[in-house]
Amino acid sequence: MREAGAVPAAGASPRDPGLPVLEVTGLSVGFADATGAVVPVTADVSFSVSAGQTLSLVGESGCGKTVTASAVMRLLPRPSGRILSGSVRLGGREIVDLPLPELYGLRGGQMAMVFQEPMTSLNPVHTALDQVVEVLRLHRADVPARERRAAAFKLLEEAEFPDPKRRAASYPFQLSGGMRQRVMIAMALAGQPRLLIADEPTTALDVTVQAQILALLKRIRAEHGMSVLYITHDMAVVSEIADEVAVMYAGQVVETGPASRLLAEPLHPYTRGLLACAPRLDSRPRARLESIPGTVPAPAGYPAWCRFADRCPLADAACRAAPVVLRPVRGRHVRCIKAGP
Amino acid sequence: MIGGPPVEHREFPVPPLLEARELSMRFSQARFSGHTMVHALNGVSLSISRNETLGIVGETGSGKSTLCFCLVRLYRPTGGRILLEGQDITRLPERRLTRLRRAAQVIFQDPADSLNPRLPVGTIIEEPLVIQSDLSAAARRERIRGLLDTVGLPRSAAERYPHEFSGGQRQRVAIARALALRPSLLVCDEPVSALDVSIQAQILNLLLELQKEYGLSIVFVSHDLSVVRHMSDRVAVLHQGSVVELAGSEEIYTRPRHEYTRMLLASIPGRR
Repeated sequence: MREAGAVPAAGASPRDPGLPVLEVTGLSVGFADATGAVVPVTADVSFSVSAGQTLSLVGESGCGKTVTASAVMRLLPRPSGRILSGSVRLGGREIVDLPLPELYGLRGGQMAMVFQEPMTSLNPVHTALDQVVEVLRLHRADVPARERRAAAFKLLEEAEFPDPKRRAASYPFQLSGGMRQRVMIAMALAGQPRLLIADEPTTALDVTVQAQILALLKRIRAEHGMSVLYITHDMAVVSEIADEVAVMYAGQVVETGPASRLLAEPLHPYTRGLLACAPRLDSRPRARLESIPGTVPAPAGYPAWCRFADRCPLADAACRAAPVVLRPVRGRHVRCIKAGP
Repeated sequence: MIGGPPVEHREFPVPPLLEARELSMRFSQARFSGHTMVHALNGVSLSISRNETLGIVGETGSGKSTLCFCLVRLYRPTGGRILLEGQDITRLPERRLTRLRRAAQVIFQDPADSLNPRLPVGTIIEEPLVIQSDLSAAARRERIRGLLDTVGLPRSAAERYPHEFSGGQRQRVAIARALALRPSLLVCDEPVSALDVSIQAQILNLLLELQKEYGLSIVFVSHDLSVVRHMSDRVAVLHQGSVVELAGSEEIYTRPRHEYTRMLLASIPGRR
């Protein structure tokens, strides 16, 4: 595929290194409940992914990271899910209100997605090879029909799918979780996307396979100059793969900045808590772990003030006086009034 | 063995709480072409002493859960022996396993699957007491209140149903039920894998406190190597149904001897 990589894919806009590949600004997503009332689940989510960079969207279950990624792909469940406000720009182009036919060209082409459980996102009645061929047929007018199978083989090889000559004719159920994820990655690469969205791609995998997939994603990002939006709950994985991090809590981005600095010196109390509560290989065995007291509030019960206040060791009356905005602190953005310069 | 106490039971002045000797488990698997045998466990030997935590790590299919099920005789192993305080329980019929059922309790990965959704939490915790103890109804209610306090749930939880609780709270219910009979051994099969990290820390802290308070022995099974290191005195590394390395926790993580252990440790994300 590397030779073909030089040819711009159909409909690709020029790759301007100065412009962020993905720019999400003030994005709010809501879901209609049984009565038709719309409950906002994310509010004012902003981040941007630069060319060739990996941004990790990190947070616990229900924080809105998958909803945000689905909104970026315009894959929110219909009819209940909807974008309430905000902007999503892909390569400078607004896609929030793009009509569906135009969107079909972008998905799989300009941006591609890899999901947590490849078994449910692969078509069970098509072989690994055919699924890659299909993406080429849909998104790569520059690859002639008679060359698609050969190109698909190359993509599987590139995704380090083991022994493609023998195994490419396998159906998803015949493959291991790691191999299925490699098929997903080959499919994602087929459209030569500028942005790869990976939603917990290694969470269902064993630790040794996870290490291989992370190394693979790093290599293909470098070779294709792709940008990656990597969604995970695991701070250890963040430290492996991310250039930039956006930490989400209760539907909001609470801290964003360069990975190395954010991990070394978290400024938001929630980020600090997340980093402290997972045991590490160098922590003292059997010592009491830091934990974040209480539980995450439900979307309908998000307070109008700081959403972390009820679990925060620093919270006082000022934290419960007004909504807290994301503001610049020491070269980062933090949603906490206590975070000082 | 390196580091921790030796596994040979004869060297103990008292027999270990629970011991597995050359444990094997085969399953027959139906195929279009007849049956094939799957060797889930091959000659696993290990022991658990009082007040000790034995960690078991391994990847999917390594036999971790099969081992747990065998240790507490939810499976009857196809080979080898299991000894509870020196008594062979490998082939005991179910009705004679009462002592084991009281001494050893299990906590599973997903409390949503292991709690009866149609029973209020108080009844779930009470069930082992009804079956195994001769406590009066009033004494059982008292015990339930005490257990809810112990695991950090409000007493009002007894009247509510499992679905009204979060994952972490449900795991607390599972722990309360496991503790109801005051067991000496808790077998925890991936007890925090379904939980968010902040909640995971709460449950790990609770298990460590309970162990200190009640002198519990714990078999702690997980695919998360950092968590196992944090919880365990000794660690057994399971690979394709065999223990490839068993040693003190510090020893395993700083001086792994087996090639497979080294590879596992090298795969941990974010090593610094």
